[in-house]
Parts: sequence; structure tokens; C-alpha cells
Amino acid sequence: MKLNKDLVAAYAAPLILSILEDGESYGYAILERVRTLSGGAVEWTDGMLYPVLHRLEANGYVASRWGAAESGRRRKYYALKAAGREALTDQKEQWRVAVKMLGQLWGGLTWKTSSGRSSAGGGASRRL
Amino acid sequence: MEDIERQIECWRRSLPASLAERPDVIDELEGHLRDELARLVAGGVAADEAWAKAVERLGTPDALAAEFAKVPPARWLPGTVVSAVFLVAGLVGGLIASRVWRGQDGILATHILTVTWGYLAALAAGALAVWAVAEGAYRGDGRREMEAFRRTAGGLAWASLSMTAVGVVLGAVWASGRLGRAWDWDPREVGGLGVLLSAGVSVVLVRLNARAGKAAAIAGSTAAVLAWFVPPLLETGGASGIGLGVVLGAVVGGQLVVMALALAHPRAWGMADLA
Repeated sequence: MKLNKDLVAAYAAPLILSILEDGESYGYAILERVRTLSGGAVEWTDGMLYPVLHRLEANGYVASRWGAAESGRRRKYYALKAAGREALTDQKEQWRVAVKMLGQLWGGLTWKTSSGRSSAGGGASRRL
Repeated sequence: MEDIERQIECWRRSLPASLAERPDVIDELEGHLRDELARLVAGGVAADEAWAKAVERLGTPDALAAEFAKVPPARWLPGTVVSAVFLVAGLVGGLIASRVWRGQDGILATHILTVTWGYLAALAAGALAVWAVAEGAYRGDGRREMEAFRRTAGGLAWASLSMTAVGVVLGAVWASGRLGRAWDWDPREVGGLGVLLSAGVSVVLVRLNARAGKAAAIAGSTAAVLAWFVPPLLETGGASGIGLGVVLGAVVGGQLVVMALALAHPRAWGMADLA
């Protein structure tokens, strides 16, 4: 499925920051992670990830360094900075509110909180 | 595989100019293409077809360039701080000068003011370069910090070049009217010429290469220190002259050491130049 451009623009940053929350990574690995998470349902134009990463870096949310890939080639790695972690916490709150509202309207959408509690929606739970 | 290398070369050359002047971005995208190519080939896709697919998935060069153009330039705190201090010092200096020299020789006053601005800009660019060398030695150079250094130091070197040029010309005009000669190779004139030349070299080198740019910016600030303090030192003489000379020697010595580090320390060279 090709998602609406505005929607992609809105969730790309929190998605990338969340992936980097698990540790340092690089562009291609981040995209593979997105592919896995969406089960192939979401198609990104691959290259568009990179301007988003660079913007996150310009905003001071992530730091980058050039390291070596297994092949010996140069590869650019990105890591979450403290400011990025803070921004992500804030974004998570906003998305929780948005998902909760939509979940109540559409039914069946839940947001699993870190404590394992489900909120919003009800009925058969489909995890987002 | 040779074929793929040729195709990668073709792809790199086909990118729009705005991307072509950012080799770090292209390297990153090329790395992506290679990873995608490897994945597709490992999945049984023929190399040519895999390459076409990888390039298509990456997006059109124009669309990519448009997205990258929207990314704001890197913020580099030292650059912002030094530029701000320079601007404020320049403005305050200008205000004070306009009050002090009100009703006095306008050419001489403007000469002193522009030369002061020119020398200050050279000192600011040098300070920035010292910071960049220290930061690079401490944690390795980031590409974006390097770009920010080149942008800020380049601007300061330009300011130094233009202000000092105006100042030197005005000095010559004043001297020809008041002293009956435009140029006499006295220490102040030689100093001004030295700052002018080193600023010109800095403008060029900062644009060409970050490592050489850092060394040139530090050399420019050394020229400014010498131009500023050697003439009064020569006029002072005696015990206080020796004290001033020691301080001056220490400052210049420190600058030379950092300049050598900028040129020699491998981590201070920056990825930009190793690539």
C-alpha cells in the first residue's frame, strides 16, 4: 500500500527515532526494519529516508558517524541523542492521544502501553 | 561485477548538481544501493535487473535533491557563538569609534575602524579553527560540523579580506595626504598587507579543503596578532617591551602549535579529506 505523503511525513520521524531507540543503526537497516514492521504493507520510496535522517541530525535529535560496513566500505551510522529521546517521548504521547481517538471511533484499535495494559477501543484487539 | 561498478559510476554522474556537490550524501545513497543490490541478488534476481530495481526504489534524483534541499544547514554552536561575538564587538566598536572620532579626520577614523574589523574577523576565524581542531582531535570530525566550520570561517575570512582591504587603501590615502607618501613599508603597513594576504589565502583554502582551511585561518589570526601588537612593541622597547614580547611570543607559539596539529593530526583532518 502506498501511504499518503502527509501521513508518511508525520510518522517517519517518530518511527525512525523509535527504531534508533534500540541502538545505533544505518539507513538500509532502518528501512529493512520498517519493511519487517509493516509486513511489506508499507512502501516507502527508499531514498526519502535519508533526508529525514539528515533533518533529525540537523535538529540535534540524532548523531552520525562514518564507520565501516562488513564489506569494508564506509557506512554512515546514526544514534539517538538525549534531545531525540526527549522528542520521542513527547511524540509518543501525541500519537497515543491520536490513536486512542481513532480507536474509539473505529473500534478494535488498541495501543499496548509499556505496562502491558491495553487502552482505547475494546473488543478484539489489533495491536498497532 | 565490473558492470555494476560502471553503472554506479553512471548513476553518480547522473545526479543533479545540488547533490553532486555533497559527496557524503552520494556515498550514503550509494551504500544503500549496494546493500539493496546485494539483497536482491541474494534473492535470485539477475544483477542488471536488481540494479534497475534498486535505483527505481531509491526515487528519482530530482525528487531526492528536492528533499535534501529542504534539510536545514547544520548548527554548530562555536560557529554561531563566534559569529555573534564578532558582530556585536564590531557594532559596539563602530558606535564607540563614531563617538570618539566625531569631528576628527574621517579617513583616519574609518581606516582604524575597518582595519580593526578586518583584524577581529581574522582572529575570530582563527579562534573557530582552533576550536574545530580541538573538537576534531577529541572526537573526530563530523561532516556537518566541518561544513559549518567552512561556511562560518569562510564568511569571516571574507569579512577580514574586504574590511582590511578598505582599511589598507584608506590608510594609504590618509598617509599620502598627511605624510606626503602613500606607502613606506613601515611595520603597521606591512602588518596590514600580511593580514590582507593571509585572509585571501584563507578564503580560497577554506573553500577547497577543511584541513588546509583550518591551518590557513589560524595563520591568518597569527598575522592579525603580529600586525596588531608588533608595531607598538617596537615603539615601546625597554622592560615593558620585553614583557609584551613574551606574551606575544607565547600567543603566537600556541597558534603555531595548533596550526601544526591542524595539518598533522590524522583525526583532525576530517573524513572530508580522507574520502
